Amino acid sequence: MGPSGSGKTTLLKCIAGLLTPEAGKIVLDGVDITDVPPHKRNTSLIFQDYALFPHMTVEENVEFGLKLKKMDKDTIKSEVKHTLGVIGLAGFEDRMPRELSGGEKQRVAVARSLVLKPKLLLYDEPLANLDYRLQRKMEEELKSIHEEFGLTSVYITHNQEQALSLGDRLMVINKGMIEQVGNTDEIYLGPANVFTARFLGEINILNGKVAGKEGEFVRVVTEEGSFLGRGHGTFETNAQVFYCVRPEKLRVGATPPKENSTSAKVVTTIYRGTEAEVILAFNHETRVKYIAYDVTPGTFKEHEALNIHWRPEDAVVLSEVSKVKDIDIDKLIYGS
Amino acid sequence: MAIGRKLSNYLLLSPAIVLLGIFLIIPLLFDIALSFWTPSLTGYQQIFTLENYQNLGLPAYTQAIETTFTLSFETVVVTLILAYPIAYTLAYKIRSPRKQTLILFTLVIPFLMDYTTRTISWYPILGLNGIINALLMDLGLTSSPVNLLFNQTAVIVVWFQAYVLFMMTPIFLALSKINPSLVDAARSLGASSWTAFRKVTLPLSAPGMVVGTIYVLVSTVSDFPTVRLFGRGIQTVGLAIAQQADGLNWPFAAALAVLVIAVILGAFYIIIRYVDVQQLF
Amino acid sequence: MEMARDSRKFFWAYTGLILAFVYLPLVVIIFLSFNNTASIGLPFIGFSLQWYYQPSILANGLGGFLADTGAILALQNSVTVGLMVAVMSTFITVASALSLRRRFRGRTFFFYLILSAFLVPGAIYGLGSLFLFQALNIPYSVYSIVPVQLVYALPFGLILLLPRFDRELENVEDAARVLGANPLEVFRRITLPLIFYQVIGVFMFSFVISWGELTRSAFVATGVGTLPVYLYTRIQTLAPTPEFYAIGTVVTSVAIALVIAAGLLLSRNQRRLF
Repeated sequence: MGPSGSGKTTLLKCIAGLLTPEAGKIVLDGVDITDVPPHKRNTSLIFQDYALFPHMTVEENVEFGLKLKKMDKDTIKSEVKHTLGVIGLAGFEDRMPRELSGGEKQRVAVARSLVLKPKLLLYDEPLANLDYRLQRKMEEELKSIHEEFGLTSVYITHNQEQALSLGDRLMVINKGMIEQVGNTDEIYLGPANVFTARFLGEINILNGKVAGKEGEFVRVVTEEGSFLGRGHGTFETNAQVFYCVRPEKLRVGATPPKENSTSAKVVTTIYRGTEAEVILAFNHETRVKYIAYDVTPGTFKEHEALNIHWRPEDAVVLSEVSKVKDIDIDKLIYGS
Repeated sequence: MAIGRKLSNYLLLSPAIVLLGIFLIIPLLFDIALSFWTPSLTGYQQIFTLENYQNLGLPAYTQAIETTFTLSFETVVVTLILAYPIAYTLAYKIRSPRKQTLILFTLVIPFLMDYTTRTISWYPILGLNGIINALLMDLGLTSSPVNLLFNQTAVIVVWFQAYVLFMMTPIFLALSKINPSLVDAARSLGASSWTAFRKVTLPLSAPGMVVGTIYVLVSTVSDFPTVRLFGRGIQTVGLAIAQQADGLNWPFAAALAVLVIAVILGAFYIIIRYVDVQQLF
Repeated sequence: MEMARDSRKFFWAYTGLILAFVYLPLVVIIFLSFNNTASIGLPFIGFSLQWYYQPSILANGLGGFLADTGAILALQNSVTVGLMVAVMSTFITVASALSLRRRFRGRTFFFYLILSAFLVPGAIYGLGSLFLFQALNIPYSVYSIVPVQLVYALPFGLILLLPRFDRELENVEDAARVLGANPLEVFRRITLPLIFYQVIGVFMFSFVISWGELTRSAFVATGVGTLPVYLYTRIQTLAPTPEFYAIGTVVTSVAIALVIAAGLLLSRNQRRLF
């Protein structure tokens, strides 16, 4: 996952063998495949624009790879039929790509690769061209196919929600650099730097200085107050750090606890059905996002004063902005 | 409002329709009508006859017809095979559109030569004193000059040089329109580069090949200046038409013409059924 | 990576070979136009400009290009006819394209009708036109060549222009319409400027086609006719001399200059050429 131009597609094409890297190795299941041409690798790539062969029927598209393996006709036919059934396109054999809807084309593209039972399935932002509802539906379907067939997949997206819902392991890349790699939920709760934190969901960021360590936590002094948070590694006193809290971790309370609390005023509320996104202003005018669930519209009135608090373990202290040098910090934090 | 649109559509199209009606349809109709009339000293008499078509069956003319279509067919094949790699190079091996256009224009320039001049320029190349012969003798392949002119191969060579651009360009356009991901997809599914070309690129470039083939076919079938200058002794339909027209046997010339059109239309309709040419536009 | 490099070289080499072959006649005629002999073949005797300008000194009255009144007249005719064809072709092509870009009943029919001019071989078409002029008693003149060439140039122009009318252009025109422009204004202010380069392309292409057209024109030409016709008729009666080469060189140079000019103009609108 990464922003546009970070090199996601290039990486995927290297794994598929369509591009040759200038340096480094690609090892699949213990075998070095760096010099193996694409048609001999056991990988299959699913394109963003589906790349269905316009001059072939659905059946001919799906059986393309099987025919190249010189299987016998009957086996091919039954495999194709079976896969089309699994993917929900039973009976579509004789249709042409131009007759299909976006979702149907997507499924044919998947079937075409799936039928070959590859070791590695590569997805290049396959759902990007579908509307929201369809994306959600296809996400579920892809996930169930993945589990049912016991596949290994590499999936590219710049949609963080998809990354969080589909991925077991996640790699965040930025301008060709790996920002962070690890299990998806670990990265979400424990981002390694500001870029990853910002990229993977909403997060509130305050500039601050390290005051010292208190047990397992680090005390950070910010403009808005002194707060506790989790921090990996060593932090020198007075070091410049970023103090980060996810919007859904903030709490509104009548009686404020001792640590990690401050007062705030409501600036504006965006009601989104299941949740309300509330923009708050802390005492020193820092804008912060707070997400409240299952609230009725009008719960938060403009200019209303609130007490905000959060647990120390829900805050992360970060020293690194990004692995990419010369990145525009303000643009990163405050958005463009 | 909708009526105004429709009207303006037809209005815009009217100059073309008028032009084509008078100068395309009517001449063709004339050709057809004339082929059924009798030749006379003043050209023709409007007396219905089938003798023109019967004359087509004469050995001299069936020979000419056979020669014509053999020559044209061979030219089409040669031009297609030799032009395709160039179109491919232009479409896939050159990165910048600027360079593409540049090379395209470079290819266009020889075609701006005048027809006759270009044709006779082959004399110093293929002739007895010509470049090729000089080369052959220098290399010791022959001891005396070989007569390369005045046979069917010479005609094909000249035609190839004349028409290769018109075969290459539509193929190039067709190749340019192919989604580049398709070849990648094929390779990712297990096809080697050659197989991917054969199963994906080649079929999808068919409309271009069709347009090129038709152009070369149409041009060579009635092309007479070259045959006259180079094919001493070769008789083709185009040449026959020109000769008969000169000799004022117009009805017979018309019959020849109708035959050619019938064959071309027939070929065209057969091809159209298999290849969707409209997508080229 | 190496494989790709090698294959590229091969393709380039092949293209170069074919290019050399295609250029061979051009090189020959330029080279031999300076040949100091009346024969059109090799060997090259000596350098001479006689075929370009020298008035006839030979017994059979053959001489240089500029002294050949017939050739000069033919050249003038070619230019006149060419311009007429180019202008008329541009107008008709643009009008037709504006009509054919929309869907309406019979659109495919008309489209193929125009294209069918492409399908009719030169000799067949020339013959029919000959009859037509005869029957209608239209006097032959240089101008009778114009409609004949026009019909042939039309499909080329259309194929060149029509693809330019894409979705993007429609969007921009719609935007103009929504902002209050009537159809004429939309055409004048939006459409025309955006298709301008293609239109120039059509103009130049039509001219070039007319310039080199022989088979059709030969049937309906009279007297001197256009340059290709003149040369063709002459070669049947008189033996050719390097004057032909000289004419060919001059003619091709003019055409090259035009094509380069067109290329420079069109390259300013790169993406839209194809």
